[in-house]
Amino acid sequence: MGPSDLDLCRAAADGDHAAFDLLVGRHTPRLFRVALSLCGSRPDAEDLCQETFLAAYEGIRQFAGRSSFRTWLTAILIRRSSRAWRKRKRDSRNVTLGDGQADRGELSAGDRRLDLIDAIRSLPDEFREVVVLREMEGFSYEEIAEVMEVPCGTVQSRLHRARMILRGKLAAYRPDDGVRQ
Amino acid sequence: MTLCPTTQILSAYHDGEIDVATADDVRGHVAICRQCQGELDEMKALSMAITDDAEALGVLPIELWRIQSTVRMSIGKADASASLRRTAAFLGAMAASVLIIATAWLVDLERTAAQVDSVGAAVAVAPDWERLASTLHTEPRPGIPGDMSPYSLRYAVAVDWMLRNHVPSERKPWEKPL
Repeated sequence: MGPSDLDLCRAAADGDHAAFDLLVGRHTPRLFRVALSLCGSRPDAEDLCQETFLAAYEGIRQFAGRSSFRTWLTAILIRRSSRAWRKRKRDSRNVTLGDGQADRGELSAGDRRLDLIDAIRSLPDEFREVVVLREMEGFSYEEIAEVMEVPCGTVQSRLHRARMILRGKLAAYRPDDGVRQ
Repeated sequence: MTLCPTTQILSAYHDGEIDVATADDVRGHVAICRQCQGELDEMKALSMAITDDAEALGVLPIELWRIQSTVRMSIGKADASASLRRTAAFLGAMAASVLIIATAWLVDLERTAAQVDSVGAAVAVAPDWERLASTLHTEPRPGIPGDMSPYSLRYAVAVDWMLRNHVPSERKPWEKPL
């Protein structure tokens, strides 16, 4: 087992580039997944990861280790992603991978995946972020609350509302529609 | 629990983010309520679909390499420019220090000279013409007595002194006796 994230952070804060390189290698796969879920395209996710790591390096002396490095890094990514997403929305250039389930005829597993990705990306920022952090990254409510700087109760209600919206959007894939709202 | 829990409670129960007592109640209720059981099954299905989706979003080796190398390069550049900034700041501070010390030294020198001058000892007094000449203004305004600036006044005094002391008497017709 290698050195802990905290040890590597301390070494990086003292100017050890190799230590930071190790942190980058360790956290990129997870961070990339979150970035891709949030921003929608692989090149954008790549840029977002790079920006996040550079911001983390600049602020690594401020990282006190009260939360895990993973949570801290994700918080940076979420903030940057929200900023980029808002800018993109202002520019009216929303990224979508699919065009909904209209006119598709028979719905395949591939369609479902595309629609799911599209549905997640069409969620409002705060809902999309909780879904990604909870369902994709397995963050606890407490960790999500820390990342998003909101109370745990807010995380619970946002996650619930996000699930309701997703269920509504993916209703076509439900075998029966007898579930209450 | 006889009444159905809210979907928000079911959602938190599904995530395992509910206190033990409430979780026991919900578990007991779900065991006998088909509607809540269906609700929970839907939540599980949705979570599984998203998790499967997450697995397909893995970073490719080339992307990982690009991210790592870009970050490495940017950090190297950032450190180099930070070091350059530190050196520039050091040199700037040195230059400022030299300037401050030199200014203080000059001020002190002038003050010492003034003190020695006022005592009137040990300093060779410059001749009058030299002191006058050193204070002459380049744009004198003689002939306008009511509007004489200190500089033009000095000029007038200097001219007067020069005429009286350095111009031969034969060239001063106005001093010849009538």
